[in-house]
Amino acid sequence: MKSSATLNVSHLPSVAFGSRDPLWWGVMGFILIEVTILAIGIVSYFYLRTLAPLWPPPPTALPALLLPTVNMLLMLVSVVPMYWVDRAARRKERRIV
Amino acid sequence: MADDTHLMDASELHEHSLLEQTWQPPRGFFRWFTHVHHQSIGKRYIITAFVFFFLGGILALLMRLQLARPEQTLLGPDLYNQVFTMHGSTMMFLFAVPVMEAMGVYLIPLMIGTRNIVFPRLNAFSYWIYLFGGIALYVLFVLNIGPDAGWTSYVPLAGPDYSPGKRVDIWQQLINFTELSALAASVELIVTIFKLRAPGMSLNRLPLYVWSMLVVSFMVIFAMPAVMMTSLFATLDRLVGTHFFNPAEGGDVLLWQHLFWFFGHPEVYIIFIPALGMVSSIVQTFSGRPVFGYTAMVLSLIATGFIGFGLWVHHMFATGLPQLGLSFFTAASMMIAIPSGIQIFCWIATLWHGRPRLHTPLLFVLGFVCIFVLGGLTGVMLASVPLDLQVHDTYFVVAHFHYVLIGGALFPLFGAIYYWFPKITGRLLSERAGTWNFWLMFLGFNLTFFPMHQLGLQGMPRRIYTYLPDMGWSTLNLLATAGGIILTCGVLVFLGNVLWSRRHGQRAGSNPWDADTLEWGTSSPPPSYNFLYLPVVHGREALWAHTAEAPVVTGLHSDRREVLVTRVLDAEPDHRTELPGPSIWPLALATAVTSGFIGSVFTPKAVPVSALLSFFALIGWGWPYWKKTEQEQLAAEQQP
Repeated sequence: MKSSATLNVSHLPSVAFGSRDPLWWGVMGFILIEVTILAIGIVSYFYLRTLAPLWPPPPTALPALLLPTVNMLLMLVSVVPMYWVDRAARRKERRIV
Repeated sequence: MADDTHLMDASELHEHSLLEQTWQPPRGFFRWFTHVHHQSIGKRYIITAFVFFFLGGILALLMRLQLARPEQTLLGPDLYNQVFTMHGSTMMFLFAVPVMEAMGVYLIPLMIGTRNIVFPRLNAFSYWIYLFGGIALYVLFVLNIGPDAGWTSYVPLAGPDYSPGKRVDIWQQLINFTELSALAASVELIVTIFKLRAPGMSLNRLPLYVWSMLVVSFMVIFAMPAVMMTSLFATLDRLVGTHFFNPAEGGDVLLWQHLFWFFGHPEVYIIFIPALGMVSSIVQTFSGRPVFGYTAMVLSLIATGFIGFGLWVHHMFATGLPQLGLSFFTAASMMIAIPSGIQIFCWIATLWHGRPRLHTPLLFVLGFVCIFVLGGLTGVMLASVPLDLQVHDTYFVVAHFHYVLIGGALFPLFGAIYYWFPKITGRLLSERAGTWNFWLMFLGFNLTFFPMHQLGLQGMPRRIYTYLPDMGWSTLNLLATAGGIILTCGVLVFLGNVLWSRRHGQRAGSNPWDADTLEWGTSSPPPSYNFLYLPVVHGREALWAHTAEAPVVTGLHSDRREVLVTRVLDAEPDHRTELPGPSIWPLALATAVTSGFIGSVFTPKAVPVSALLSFFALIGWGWPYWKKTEQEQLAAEQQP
């Protein structure tokens, strides 16, 4: 398919951020999968809850909230270094990345 | 073209050797496990899927032999249960879905004009997970721990009370393996299609096959999580004593059917839509003109993808759900015939206005139209609640879904193999053997499954291991078995044809069918780097619109795995990116995950252990490494 005319792309950047980057789309795809899983969990919860005369079904106790809360806080805190790395990457500071 | 190295001028030869060095898959036994190129992985994927197809076919033949005469003793009731469960699970989870993904993995990067799939290591991981799941299922089947509750694995039959032992647990883990693999493949196909298209291939110039894979990948993302979740619930019920499906403790058995069919019905379309794409490719090439009604075809594909999610309750008409709700699903079930009908008429119009060349791929497409229309008609019949209640769980349903799946997916797939085999191997399959293959399969198929409609109307239930002589089912069953043997002969001709033609077939050249899509613009088999210069697209039929003055892409680094990233809608060049190379970590991660899936059948402790192993594998996978070239490049870009 070689011909005299060419479309030279050497001037284009080798890094892009946000929705220009394929990785962003990949992450979005996996977020979509996770959200679907979560949605199906929520639907199942309400499906069972609607059918049950008592909720939660009698011998079941409500789960303790301590560990899930700690887990959630850890996840929230992990946002900070991610944000920091992202900022550094956008400034193209290799040292921090 | 790249195979004709003697035709290249000096600069092209230089480019060729650079690219060859960069993209060549590593040699050697151990390095074989590190391959990540879509051609390597795609070929392995296709071959593995066909191995499972042959295994599932052998199981089907065993069932037909058992049912040939009344009161046969070839398979006992227990083994028969395992055999029909294994047959269904193999064909759905280890053949039909994976083979469609596999064809996409091999073809899509070539069709859209790029050098590799966008996440090559994820692609390798998807293959390994699928392979390990399939092997685990068959090893355990041979050890007499094969699942035996049907490919739908309904509770309460598959619950802890009625299926003690490990058999159903294995089935639930198989679900995890195959769905994980399909989800990974879908994400990478979507992103590859969105971001790595050749410049000029805007969405309205996307080949119909690529459209079909795009729609299917989105369907996988919304459908597969449902079955993974419900299989997780069922695993928890069996393993740690939860009561999701136990009515005595506040659970509900119908929840399983809802979640299973919310996946299970789209699943049918996940198998069927790629086949539609294959049919469009074949019809366009062999009628020698653009497909009639491109826009209508694309909209039909998308409509099928949406309506496919509104049908699941028609599998549950016999469960006593409220009548008003059922009528909605009847309407949706009839509505989905509309987009399928539009496509059939568009293909007929294309053939009508073209000059059809009756090669084997087109033969299979014509067979598809006949069989699929029959299967579609019984589908419209089954969409009505009264008829469905009458024939529910009989051989009428067995006949219907084999007509839809074999007619709708297997025939186009065989056509597609005949069509793309020369691209993959560089040699054509024998046309004479192909004609035999088609007619044996077509006649054998109809002889096997047409009598089953009548058997179902006479009341023969599915999933029974034998029947009494005075039921009046003997003749038709014998006929069906005879058909099964003819069908098998057809498949054997196919196998022989592939094995023989791979070495001795007629050489194909780059474009033996005079087709229009980009994969035919490179040599057969394609070089390790796919295209010497990435193409620029000027029309919907890329090669037919191609002129000698059309430009090609230059300026990509050939000494690293660099590809061009384009914009989602109009495919304007946006930036360059480097794709990862061969790596052992996908295999390591797949092994770690497998240990968890299989181990959790026996002890819940396997889950944290496997999570820890996966954690290390992921660290290895993501370990940052910097090459000097990248540093220099970055430094250069930092300069104002």
